[in-house]
Amino acid sequence: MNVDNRSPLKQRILRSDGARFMAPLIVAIIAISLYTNGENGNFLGGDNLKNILLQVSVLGIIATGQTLLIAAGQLDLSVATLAALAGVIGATRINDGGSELWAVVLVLLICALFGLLWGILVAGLKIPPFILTLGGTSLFASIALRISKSSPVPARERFEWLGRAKVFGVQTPIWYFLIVVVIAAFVMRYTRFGRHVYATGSNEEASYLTGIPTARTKVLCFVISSTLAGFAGLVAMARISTGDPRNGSQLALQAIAAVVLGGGTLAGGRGSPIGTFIGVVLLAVVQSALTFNNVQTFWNDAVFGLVLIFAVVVTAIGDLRRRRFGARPILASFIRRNEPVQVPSEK
Amino acid sequence: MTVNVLELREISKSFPGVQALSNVSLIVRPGTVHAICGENGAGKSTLIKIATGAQSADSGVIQICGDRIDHASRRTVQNLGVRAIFQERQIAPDLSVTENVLLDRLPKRFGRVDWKNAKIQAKQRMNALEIILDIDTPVRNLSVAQLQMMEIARAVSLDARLIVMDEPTASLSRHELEPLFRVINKLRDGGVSVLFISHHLDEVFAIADEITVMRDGVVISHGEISEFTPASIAELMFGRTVSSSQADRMSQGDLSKPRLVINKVCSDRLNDVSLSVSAGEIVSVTGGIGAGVSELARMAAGGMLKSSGEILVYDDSRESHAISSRRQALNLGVAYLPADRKRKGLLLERTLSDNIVLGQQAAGSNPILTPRKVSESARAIAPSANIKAANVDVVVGTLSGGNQQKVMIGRWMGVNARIMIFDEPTAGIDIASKFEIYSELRRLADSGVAILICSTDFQEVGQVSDRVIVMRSGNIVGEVEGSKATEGRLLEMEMSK
Repeated sequence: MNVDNRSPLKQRILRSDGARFMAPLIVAIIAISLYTNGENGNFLGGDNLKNILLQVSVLGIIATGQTLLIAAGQLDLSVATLAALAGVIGATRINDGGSELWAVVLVLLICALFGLLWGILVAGLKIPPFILTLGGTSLFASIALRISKSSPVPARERFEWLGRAKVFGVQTPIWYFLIVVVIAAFVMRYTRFGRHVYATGSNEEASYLTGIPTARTKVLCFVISSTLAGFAGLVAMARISTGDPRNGSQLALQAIAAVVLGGGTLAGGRGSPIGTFIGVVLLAVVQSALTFNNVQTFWNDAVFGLVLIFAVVVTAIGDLRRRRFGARPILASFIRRNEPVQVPSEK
Repeated sequence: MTVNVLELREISKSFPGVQALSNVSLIVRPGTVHAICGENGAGKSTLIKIATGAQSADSGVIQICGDRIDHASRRTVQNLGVRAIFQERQIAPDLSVTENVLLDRLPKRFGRVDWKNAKIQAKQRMNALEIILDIDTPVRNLSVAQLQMMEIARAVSLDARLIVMDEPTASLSRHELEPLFRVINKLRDGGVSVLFISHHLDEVFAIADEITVMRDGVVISHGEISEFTPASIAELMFGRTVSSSQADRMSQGDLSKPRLVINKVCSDRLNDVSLSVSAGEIVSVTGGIGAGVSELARMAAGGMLKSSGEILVYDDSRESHAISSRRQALNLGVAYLPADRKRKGLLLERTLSDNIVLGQQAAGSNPILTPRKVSESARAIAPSANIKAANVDVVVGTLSGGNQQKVMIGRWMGVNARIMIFDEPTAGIDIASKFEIYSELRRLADSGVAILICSTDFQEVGQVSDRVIVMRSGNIVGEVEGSKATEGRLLEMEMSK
């Protein structure tokens, strides 16, 4: 057998799933940034980095919630229209003369209840979450249009503190995004609930028979994800001071894409908030780089699609090789033919 | 001279770190049943995957009916009349028996499926083998044994010359063997050869004409079945004599301390079942498939609803608690080790350490866990459960069946389970590892764990238990002391009445 001479810490980092998925993304982010900066020196200059993060903070909050669901083997397509609905309800409450804080609490409560409903239907009646939340997507979109009478609802300047204030010179949405990611990363790694999420996603039946409360775990994931989607919707509304019922219709798919980029698989059991964070940043950097390099906007979606396809193909090849030939770097597996076969000397 | 149906010469195949096969040769003559025997890991499965074109060999020659095959694929091999029935069922569960039997060649008329003709053909095929199945039922409703018959009917078409069966008896109960053997005899009479993989020697002697014994990727011996005895084959398979004497009985359990009491439990599969297991005692419940032993195991662990009756767990202070859910049972120290470890027990693609600590993660109440402590406890448990693995970071799916079961045991040692319920404790585990599991069971019992084993393997329950309870179609039909539970006695109890 091979003896691994690398230090234990180095081995652990190299062997961890996180590093396998994240390293290529970080390399891609740096490469794209340096290239674009070479073309246009403003790319890495001061405000643009903050702008990039600001652009994706709403997506990032939603994607973090989606990470929990995907790790538990679930999925929620309805988060995008739920976020839009949250924005519309928040803005409408203000116009009807309520306090901002009350509006925020009410919206989060409503979203949590929808999450609870999805969770109970999925865990209790074993309805496939894809179909269920596809239905929810249309439902929320329709309700948002009804409440807003099909036009954006102005929230005046009442939500400025939520979406446009700065703390230490950084806009609040970026803070929200970072805080949500840090808390989620802690929860997934260091809490019983987090481990239950991964176990449920890896093998639900085995987890249930071990005694893990799989149904409760799934319900909680839906509640957390929907609440985060509601919060993201409020932040988006506060940023533009308008509750737009048609806002962000692509957020759900982009969020799922970010989770998958960061190492999540729709089969469940994998995915991490930090990975998702890096996935979101990659999407943002790509988008921004396209603008800086004056690529026409109709290519945006194509590039987004290609990045995603490329990422899953590379992951799939890696998994396939790993299953067949054991863990080793992807490139080494392609040149396996020349290696001598090791016969175990004893058994 | 007749042409051999299948001829493999000097086949070698290696995977990284493992020489799976080296210079293996095998000849299957027409109209014979040829058995391949060997322990798990002996290379049987790899060999038949190569013979059926599912995998390619590194070197060697494959000849089918005298034709040399250079690039064997599933398709080319099938076209030459070699059909395989693997352990994993290959079926479309919602389609009818007719459609499944004729899956790839439904008769067509004017470009549309000719249903009338299809049914006639399916019927003919099954009649030829004396298989009785309703051709209109969706195969979802068939039993495991019936599915296998359906697959055999599919495999046998006019041009079939060799049927490869990979562990065909693995999921069958004793009563279901006979129809399978009848069909195999029928095939042989019709001039079709059968290549039969098994590690049950009694079955091999019941059906095979020739035998090839493998060990560690090489052919140890082959010849006519009459040249061997079961004992000589066992010795060849393991390279040493295997003692099948009873595992040492240190204790008989402390009968004054019942741990688990099942009281008049009924469900759609169980009828008025009562039994109790004491600390330090190993009680087995046995019976054929359909007796309900597997349901009983799951229900006793709280993983299935019962329609009436109660399941009581006694804690250290002799207080009783009725079990109503799996999670509650866990918190009362009830472990459950399902028969289908891969699908219902393990997180296959996760590490050894993740799988061991799952019990602790499920049981406790402290919301915060420290990953370092978790992996330390896994490292501490792994050796005490006698798990053989390079380290605790190996992926559990790569371990052998015996080690996987020890991982399951380790998981429950980590939470100090006081009651352990095993469903088929050695399903899919080779004979040598079986004995290790048996002594593991005895060690657990000696440490005061109450053990309930639900198993359809008469030989096993006779060897390992203090008491054996026999069930038939959901009812308890008898009980016998472990030392008197011979296979014959158990069979007699199960058949009587």
